[in-house]
Amino acid sequence: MSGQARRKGILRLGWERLSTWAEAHRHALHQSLRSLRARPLSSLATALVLGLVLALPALARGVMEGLAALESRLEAEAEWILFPESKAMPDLRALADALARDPRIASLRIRDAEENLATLLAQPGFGDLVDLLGENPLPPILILHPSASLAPEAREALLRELRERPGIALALPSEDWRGELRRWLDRGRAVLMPIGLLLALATLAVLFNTLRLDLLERAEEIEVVRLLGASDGFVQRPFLYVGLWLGSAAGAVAALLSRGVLLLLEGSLAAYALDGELGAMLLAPSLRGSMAVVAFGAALGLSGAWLAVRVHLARLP
Amino acid sequence: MLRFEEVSKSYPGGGEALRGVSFSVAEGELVFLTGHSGAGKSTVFRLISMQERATRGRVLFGGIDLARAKRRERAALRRELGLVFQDHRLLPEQSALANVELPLLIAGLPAAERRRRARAALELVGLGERLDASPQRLSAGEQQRVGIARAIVRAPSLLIADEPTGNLDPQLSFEIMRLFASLARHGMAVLIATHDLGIVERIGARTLTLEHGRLVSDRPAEASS
Ligand SMILES: Nc1ncnc2c1ncn2[C@@H]1O[C@H](COP(=O)(O)OP(=O)(O)OP(=O)(O)O)[C@@H](O)[C@H]1O
Ligand SMILES: [Mg+2]
Repeated sequence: MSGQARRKGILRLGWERLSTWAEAHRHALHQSLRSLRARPLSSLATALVLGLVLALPALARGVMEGLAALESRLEAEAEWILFPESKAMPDLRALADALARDPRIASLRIRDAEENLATLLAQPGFGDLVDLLGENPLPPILILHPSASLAPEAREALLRELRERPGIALALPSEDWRGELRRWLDRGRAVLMPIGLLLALATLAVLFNTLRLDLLERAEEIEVVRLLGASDGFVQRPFLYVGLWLGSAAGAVAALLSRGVLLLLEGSLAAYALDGELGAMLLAPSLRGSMAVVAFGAALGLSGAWLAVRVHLARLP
Repeated sequence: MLRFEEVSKSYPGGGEALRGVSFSVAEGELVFLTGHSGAGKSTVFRLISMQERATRGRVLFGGIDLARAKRRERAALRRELGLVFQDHRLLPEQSALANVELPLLIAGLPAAERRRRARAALELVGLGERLDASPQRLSAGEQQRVGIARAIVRAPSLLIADEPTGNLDPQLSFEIMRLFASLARHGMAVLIATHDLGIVERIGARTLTLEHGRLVSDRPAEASS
């Protein structure tokens, strides 16, 4: 056989195999949709119930995602506040210029007393303060951003230096805040992970059971198909597709629900005068997050169906 | 092609359905299997189709001991078999045509080819007009013929039929038997269980007779057939 003829032969064989494979999948797809359509209400109910079950982990996931985003933004935007000693007040400009030359400090600005007061007054409940005090009691402060590339130890060192520097009364880093946030994140994860896992397991169990009933109902059909020489793959494929559809639909319901709840939450947080941008970032569920929830549902569906089919086939003689 | 070697089969909780049965069927041979009800005919079929395993002895198909075939191999062997069941075993939700296409689908044939072959097989059994009917809307005899079309559509090397004419009138029965005989002439091995001794006489093919699980006679084909 010439090389070309052989190549043609191999190509044809490859093509035949591919089309056989595609044909089998087309059939399985068709079968799975028919089996779902045969019981539209119960299919819909299953997807909805599982969607509700998955909505909680999806919601938790969305919130954690937002908090993590917030944490990383705070990380990038670490902001330290320096309170000058009162004797250093007249030379504040010189102090600021000296500090700004330090390469470890990315930026630095002076916030004068008026601006400080305006910020304070913007907070609800502080409006009457000026009347009460008569004059502005707030000192000017220095706000600086340490370079984002600084290692934690270098930051510590810089902070210590600033604290010991003459003319600076107090150096307040925002790190305390972030440490607190991170502890909250860790705590949240520790609580939510096992709950999410349990709910995912419950979903898996329901899917397994649904598919198992489906299999039992079609036991006669499965037997006939096997007697006609069908491989296990041929038998199980339509059921795997059913699991995939149910799981994806449940994931989609969960993604939509959690998204809706997050949007509601965002609305009510805005009412709490939380920095609008911050609130949005905290709560905007990313499209990627929603897709991950759908994909997770699909994976659960596929696994549940696979388990059910394996159990069923293993029990056949 | 097919060989039974001292095969015995007892069902759990039942008596011995087969006792030391030996025979073989060659390529292109048409063989009838007769016997009273409960003699063990369907048991022979269940052993060949690998629904049951021999308690003693061996069943060989194409030289392979069926009791030892692995799962994958069993499926492949079944694709070489054409099965006509005593109770038809059609898929009730699918059309006659789809039922007959099923073995071709399992074999991985493309849709157009499946349709063409399934249609031809249904025409062979006289159902060319009822392709789209679902089994529930077919008479018992029509269902039986769909089952026959499904068994022959893949041109198997061995066709086994359990009472394939049980629901057919004498004329139709005879035509179906003639169809089997012509398939055998084209090289298919055909084993048919039947009560209908009249037809067995008329066709005059080789006939095995079971009695209470024993093979009591193996009468060769008459020269005329
Ligand atoms: N699943 C089973 N469990 C127990 N005993 C069985 C089983 N199937 C068949 N038998 C017994 O085995 C014997 C042979 O049965 P088989 O079905 O092979 O007979 P048959 O020749 O096909 O009868 P028929 O002509 O009525 O179809 C019978 O005595 C029957 O009771
Ligand atoms: Mg029988």
